[in-house]
Amino acid sequence: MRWPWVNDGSQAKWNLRRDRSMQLAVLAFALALGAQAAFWNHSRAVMPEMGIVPAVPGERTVRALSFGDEETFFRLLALNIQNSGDTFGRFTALYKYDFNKLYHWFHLLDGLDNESNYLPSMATYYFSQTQNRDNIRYIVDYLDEHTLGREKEKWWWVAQASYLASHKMKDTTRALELASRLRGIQDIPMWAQQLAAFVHEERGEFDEALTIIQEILRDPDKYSQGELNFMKYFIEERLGKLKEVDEELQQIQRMKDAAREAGVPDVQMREAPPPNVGAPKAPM
Amino acid sequence: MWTNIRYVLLTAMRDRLFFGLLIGILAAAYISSVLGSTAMLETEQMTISFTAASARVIIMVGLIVFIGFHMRNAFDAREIDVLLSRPISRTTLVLSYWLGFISVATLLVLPTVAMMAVLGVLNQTGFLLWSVSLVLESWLLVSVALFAALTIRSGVGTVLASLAIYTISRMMGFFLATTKTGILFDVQEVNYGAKWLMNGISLVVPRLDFFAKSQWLIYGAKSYEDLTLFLFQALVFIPLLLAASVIDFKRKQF
Repeated sequence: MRWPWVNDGSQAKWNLRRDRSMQLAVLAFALALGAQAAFWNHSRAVMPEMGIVPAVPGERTVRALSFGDEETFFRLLALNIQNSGDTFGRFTALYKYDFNKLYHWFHLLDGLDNESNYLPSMATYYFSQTQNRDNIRYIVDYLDEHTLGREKEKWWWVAQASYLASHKMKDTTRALELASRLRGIQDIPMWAQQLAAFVHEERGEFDEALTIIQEILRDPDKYSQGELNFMKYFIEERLGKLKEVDEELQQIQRMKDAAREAGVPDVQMREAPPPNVGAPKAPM
Repeated sequence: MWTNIRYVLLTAMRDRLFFGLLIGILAAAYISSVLGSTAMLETEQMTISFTAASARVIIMVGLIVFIGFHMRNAFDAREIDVLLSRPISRTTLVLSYWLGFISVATLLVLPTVAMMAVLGVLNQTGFLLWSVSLVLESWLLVSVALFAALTIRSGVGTVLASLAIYTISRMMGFFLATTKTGILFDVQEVNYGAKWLMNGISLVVPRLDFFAKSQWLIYGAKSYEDLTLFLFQALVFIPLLLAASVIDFKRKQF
């Protein structure tokens, strides 16, 4: 039937609406939409399981998933570890973290890139702030292994590990073991070479501390007048051993004075941390 | 020949390939810089590494899809038949397509390299190496996709096959290292078999894990071998694929 006031387009729409299968489809759509709304009402409270430190995958899995670009995958996973526990608006206290898992993550990622300072800095500056001091040993173990055989390039992290062992773990034996790795390493700051002496002093082992300082004193070309002044102070005030090395110190001072009078510039000491370890810059 | 090269470039412009992919790369760079800025340390290294990897994937996937469907369309619309009715040999036609596609690839890689330079060059030699290897990787992938497009009848099939070869090629180093250990399976004979099988497969699959390593951008190359490996791989495999494509195309009946 044609209505005179209805044009052809509207007639077609009207016929479509009256079509039985179309009515069924619309009904099915409305029912499915209602069912989806009911499901949404139930499921919107169901959240994905959010752990803190993710499970550590195998080394093969990680290498396979890197698709030949291990550097990028290293950085993606490292960023994931940095944010673990603090995603979806959560903030998790560090004592709740599984440090054993973190230790294994660090090891795994070192296999992809062990030159980067990203992981040691995250371990040292962030995860070491844990309220559970027993967990610090995982950080110290990691830093120890990360730097093994690379003291010259990674001296900063050896020093940090020694600091953590001494001041957070209260384990001066471990601190001494670590600090001793920096003895005699050339071209690193003098304070890092002297670190073992400071730990010995802390343990009351003044003779051993003096031995280390004497080792350094043997090479006056490697340290400045300021450094010599500090070592004199350390021996006299903190070790109380000035008499034992007084003659040696005076001889070195005479050499330094002679060099200064001859116009030889004083040794420029490198004292600041490396530029790429995230440490505050030394005052100018 | 030059007409066909120009036609491929025009098609790429018509399909908004340059515009689309470069927008994608810029978006990837932006997301990478946001991600990188959340890092505690080495934020620049993070940004560079993420941008380099994502840009590489965008370019390669874009090229595969473009070549797959461009060639399919050329077959379906009888463009190939028309071209072959002219005084042009089949070898020249394949080479002209390859030259057209590598021009497209190079035009996509160059702005990416420029963008990476703007993001920061931490190691000049490494940056140069990464840039050259990205160009060669794209050329090699063009050869793979062109070969697939000439041998597989379906556009989707071409894209999937090329993506599969690309993925396997990027993982080939891992596969070889894994099977070489000989401890993958409990039965020693199976380990030997896996090792031989993987060696056999690697004979005909390029090692794309030698190309465009993000670590070069950060630490530089470790030795000259980094350069020679990808250079020789490209020098050997591109002619191999081109020859295979020409042989297959010459045997095709229209």
